[in-house]
Amino acid sequence: METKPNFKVSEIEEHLDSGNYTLGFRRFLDVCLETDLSVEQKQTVLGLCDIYNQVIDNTDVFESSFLEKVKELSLQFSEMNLDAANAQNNVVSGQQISKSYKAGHFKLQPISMSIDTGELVGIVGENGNGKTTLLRMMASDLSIDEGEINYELGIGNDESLYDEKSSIAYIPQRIPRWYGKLKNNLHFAASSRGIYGFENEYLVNVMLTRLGLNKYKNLFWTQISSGYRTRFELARILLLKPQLLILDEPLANLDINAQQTFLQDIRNLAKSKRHPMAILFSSQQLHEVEKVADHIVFLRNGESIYNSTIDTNEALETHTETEIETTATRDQILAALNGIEHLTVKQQGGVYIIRCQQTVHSLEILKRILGAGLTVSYYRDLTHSTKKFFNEN
Amino acid sequence: MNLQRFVPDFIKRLDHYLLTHYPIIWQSRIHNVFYAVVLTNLLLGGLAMLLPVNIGHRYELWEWTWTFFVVAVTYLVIWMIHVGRFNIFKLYGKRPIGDEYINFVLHMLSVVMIASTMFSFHYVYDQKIRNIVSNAELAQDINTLNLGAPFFPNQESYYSKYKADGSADADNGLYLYNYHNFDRFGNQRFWTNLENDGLDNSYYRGYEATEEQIMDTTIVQEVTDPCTQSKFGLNCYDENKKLFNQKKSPQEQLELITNFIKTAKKYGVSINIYPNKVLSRFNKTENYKFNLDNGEVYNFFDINYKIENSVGYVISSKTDRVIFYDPDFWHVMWYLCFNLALLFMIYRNVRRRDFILSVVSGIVIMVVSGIILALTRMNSENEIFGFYFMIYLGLVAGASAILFKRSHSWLNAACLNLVAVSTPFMPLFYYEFNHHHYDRAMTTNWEIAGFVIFFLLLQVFFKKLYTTLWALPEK
Repeated sequence: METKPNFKVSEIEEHLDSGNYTLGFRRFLDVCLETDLSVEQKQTVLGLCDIYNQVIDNTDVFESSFLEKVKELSLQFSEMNLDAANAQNNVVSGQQISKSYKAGHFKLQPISMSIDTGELVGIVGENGNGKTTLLRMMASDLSIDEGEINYELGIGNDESLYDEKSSIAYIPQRIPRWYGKLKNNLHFAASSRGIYGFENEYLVNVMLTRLGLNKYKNLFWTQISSGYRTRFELARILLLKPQLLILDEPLANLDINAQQTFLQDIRNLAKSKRHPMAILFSSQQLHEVEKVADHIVFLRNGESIYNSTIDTNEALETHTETEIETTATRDQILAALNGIEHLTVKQQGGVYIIRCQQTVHSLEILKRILGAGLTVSYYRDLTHSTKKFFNEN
Repeated sequence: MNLQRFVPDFIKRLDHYLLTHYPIIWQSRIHNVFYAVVLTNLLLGGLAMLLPVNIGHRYELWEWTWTFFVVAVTYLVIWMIHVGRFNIFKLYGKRPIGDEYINFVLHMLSVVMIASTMFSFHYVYDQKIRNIVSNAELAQDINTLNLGAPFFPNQESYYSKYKADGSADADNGLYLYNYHNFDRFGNQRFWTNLENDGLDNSYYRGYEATEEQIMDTTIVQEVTDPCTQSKFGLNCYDENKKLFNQKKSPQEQLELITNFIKTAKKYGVSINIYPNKVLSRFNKTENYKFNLDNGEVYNFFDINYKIENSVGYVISSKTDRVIFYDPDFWHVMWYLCFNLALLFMIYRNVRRRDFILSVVSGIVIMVVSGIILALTRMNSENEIFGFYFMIYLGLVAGASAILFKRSHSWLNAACLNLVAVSTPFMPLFYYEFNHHHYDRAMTTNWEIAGFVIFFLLLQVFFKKLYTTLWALPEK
């Protein structure tokens, strides 16, 4: 099936014109990776990558000719057709899978879940509630006690367990150490998947530039921070082009900016037209997960207490919940919200959690507090957020 | 440790080419091994070329070989760490058809190349020692020593002792060599009756023979005829002496002695006596009339011993067979390299914990089976083989169960590893336990059969089980 790349040229132009060169060029490289380019075009892209890396590492001032060339190629590439992947299909489905550990007396209660191509599923929950167990089971890294997991990885009927597992990428929280130069690991990952010669050079260099890793390519594992290790691991996984990507706490080692970029990257990966993949990941960063995930699973004490998309599940719509940070006392807040039915105000870790009937909008709560002359330094509407489950604990 | 800094650009370029084109070759690091081994062998060969060789010194080259064994082991460890760490299987890389064969062959070649560093110094130094004296020169020297040998007896009293009771031979003390092939004439002494020794005396020369005569066996035979007509050596001595005195002038005799002394010096043996003194004493033995002056000695035991050793070392360095041409050497090397490659294949195909537990399991099985054999008093070879064969079948069953398992188990992994280790040797094991007489040809056939069976199973059986084992989830 032929289609057009999944991006807007105007978006790239906008970023470049506004001086956000990094974002603009990254989007441009996404275009390149999505498009079937000729060898000459790939060489041109590699040349632009070289210039970009030199400038980014030194002056951060790009010549207009470089920017014009990027824009011109973006336009040119956007007009090209590409072979899109097949329509969305189920990649993995687990039916009533469970697992118990004798040591620790923990049991992950039966849970069912299904992930389609292009879908992002986030697993949230407090520590020790079974997130890693669930991820490892879905990655076929840990055996299940009960239930069944079926994979539809599109590698033929005579697929062996090994071939099946080759199409699943599991990135644990503690990424196994790489040996040798980081760049060599990426070349090796690509060539071991049948990407040879110039294509190998092209993909690895574009990937390094795309993920902002070019500066570190000749270093060794022990010479980079854990955040960069996660990014390098992501680069390796992208070269392997798995059908199913499973990440355990990928945001744990990233700073706030890197978290945003990382989440956007994996969302782009999942939604890629050419190589879409199913992504399952766990995180403690609830708000960030909710921003990108299509589907959320909330685990508590080994039990799934929420397993649905955010928009469609009515379980979240039971009440209005607001999180604020203020110097005011609980009594002052209660006074400001006087008259609202089913009101509860609870202090939790430096913030107040305000619950009330569903008919009152969260913004109304904020208005009433501000109207009472109280100072609010932080506000968030949790009505549609799974964070409500954390607060209930 | 970053070893890349020691690698030249062309190897780096090759490395990158293999990395991006032939990952299966790249990950074996055979190109790095090749470079390191060539460089090391050149260095060790150069060292062997630089080290002086002293004529007449006996060199124990195996001592050097064991010294460089350390180098080979170091290389082996470094290589294994590098290859073992960068493991394609652990990253769930694709496994193309035939990859297990390619891996095995590449690893075998790497081990063979690394092992060669043990022998490069040995080989070059051995060649240097062999050529310290050319064959023609050595033949000439032996000729000269043989010609002069009668003038330098071990102990003059032997002559008189023999004269008295006939119990001892007149012994010049110096072993003689066949200068054509450098074989020593056993216990043959120059003055000994040729007939009694039963040696092929075609090349055996009387002391008066010239080099030209030596080349002509007819002349030699003619010259030695007077001996053969005598009963014992002393007669021979007499006859030869008479003949010698007829044919050689004193000047010629003196020249033979001088040449002997010069040649001995060349082989590291100094003879601090004037040639005319030697001749004078030699002449006093005529008709066994030892009229040596008081304090005068005619005894060259030490000198003869040294010359004999010195020439012997040079000759043995030329005639001893180099170990590299010995099939037994390659037999040992094959086993060494094969087993290392086999162990390495197993290590790379399983988790580290499984590998360690397999080693422990192997030891436990050996100990327990030994105890069972002792307790049950099974002592016939058929019974012992049957017992071990049952264990082997049990291991095969345990390994095959991997295909039907839902989760990974170290026990199955241990069974598989032990089957992989024992399969190449099972046919030989069977043959040795069922045939009581040693037949080298048959043993070799059964050995080869074991390796063939292993290689046939490598791709279709072992790879299938190892990849499945890798992919099974943890319990």
